[in-house]
Amino acid sequence: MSEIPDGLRYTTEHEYLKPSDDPDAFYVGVTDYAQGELGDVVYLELPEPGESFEAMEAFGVIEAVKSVSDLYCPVAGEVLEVNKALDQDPALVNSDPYGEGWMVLLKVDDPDALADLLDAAGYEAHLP
Amino acid sequence: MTGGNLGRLSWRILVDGPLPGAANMARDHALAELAGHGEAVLRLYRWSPATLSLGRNEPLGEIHRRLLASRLDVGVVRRPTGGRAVLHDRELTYGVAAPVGAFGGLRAAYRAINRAVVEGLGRLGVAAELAGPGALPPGAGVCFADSAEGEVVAGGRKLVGSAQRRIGDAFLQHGSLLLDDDQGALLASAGEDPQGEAGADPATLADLLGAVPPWPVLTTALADGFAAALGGSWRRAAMTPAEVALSDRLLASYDSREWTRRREE
Repeated sequence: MSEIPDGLRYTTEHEYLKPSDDPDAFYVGVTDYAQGELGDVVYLELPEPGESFEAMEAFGVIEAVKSVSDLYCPVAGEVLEVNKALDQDPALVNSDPYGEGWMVLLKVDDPDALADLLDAAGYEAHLP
Repeated sequence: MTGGNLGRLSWRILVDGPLPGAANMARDHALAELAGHGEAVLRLYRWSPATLSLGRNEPLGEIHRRLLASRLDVGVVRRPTGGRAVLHDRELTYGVAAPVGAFGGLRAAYRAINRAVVEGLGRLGVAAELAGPGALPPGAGVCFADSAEGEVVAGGRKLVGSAQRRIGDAFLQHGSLLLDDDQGALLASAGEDPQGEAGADPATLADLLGAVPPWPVLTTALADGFAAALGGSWRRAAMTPAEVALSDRLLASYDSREWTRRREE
């Protein structure tokens, strides 16, 4: 059974938003279920700080040994920071998806948009 | 992983090509873009000219440049799918474009499709199976040099190399069934010893059967194997006008130097 922490928001495409110290900024990554489905992550293509994305616009690409997927921005916002540790060790997405495996820190345009995302129970219900 | 509703999925079989690399990739990509909510497609095809395909994010390295310099009539294209370099020459390639939800997930789809390939090979008289644990290490190289867990092997040697791409609610899975040996030339040109890795010498249909069956026999066996293994309803039909139009739009990017050279070492 994959881990689905409470207190985060989720998309049906298996990304999460996790609160940071800044109430307007959230860590974005992929869920434990997604990393398990993909297998060992070998490469990530992530945006630069300052880039903005619309809700569910592709903001990057994740590649595992055999599979490639787009990464979708859960809500509209601007990238404040990118996790540079993933350049050296993309497998952090597998070993610690909700911690050291975060991908970008996103300043959310409209905090009310988070209400449209799934909570932990809703995401769990969505999984096959 | 449970879930999925494969038994209710309708499938279309496209027997296609031979075509250049960019046209093959544009068609597969278009099929996957449009497969999210509807019908699944099994496309069986060949390549002309022989083409080196690179994985979506694989760096174009010295070994690939040496290969391209070593043969006059070899195309090069970058796939939408992951994985590593493949030289497509004497092979049957499949592309499966289908809704992820019908299979219950990407890994379930990978396993189900590889089981379907094994079923199709059985109809040709090939005793293939899925590789056990002991997956390959990621790194630059050529696809057929190693076999990963769940891949199709025969006699302990890799027979079918495969890779996936998720596109929205759908996915594309590519696989290459070697008909006759051409990967040895790739490995040698790439400066690697074809016999150097455990299981590195790939199996081919010619090795296993003594001769390569005619193309219609191959495509019919594969299509019948998929239908038997995956269930659902199956029919042979051409690309739809929407698929052709999207494929035509995607062709320029798959043909472009910017896409092919997007990652270099």
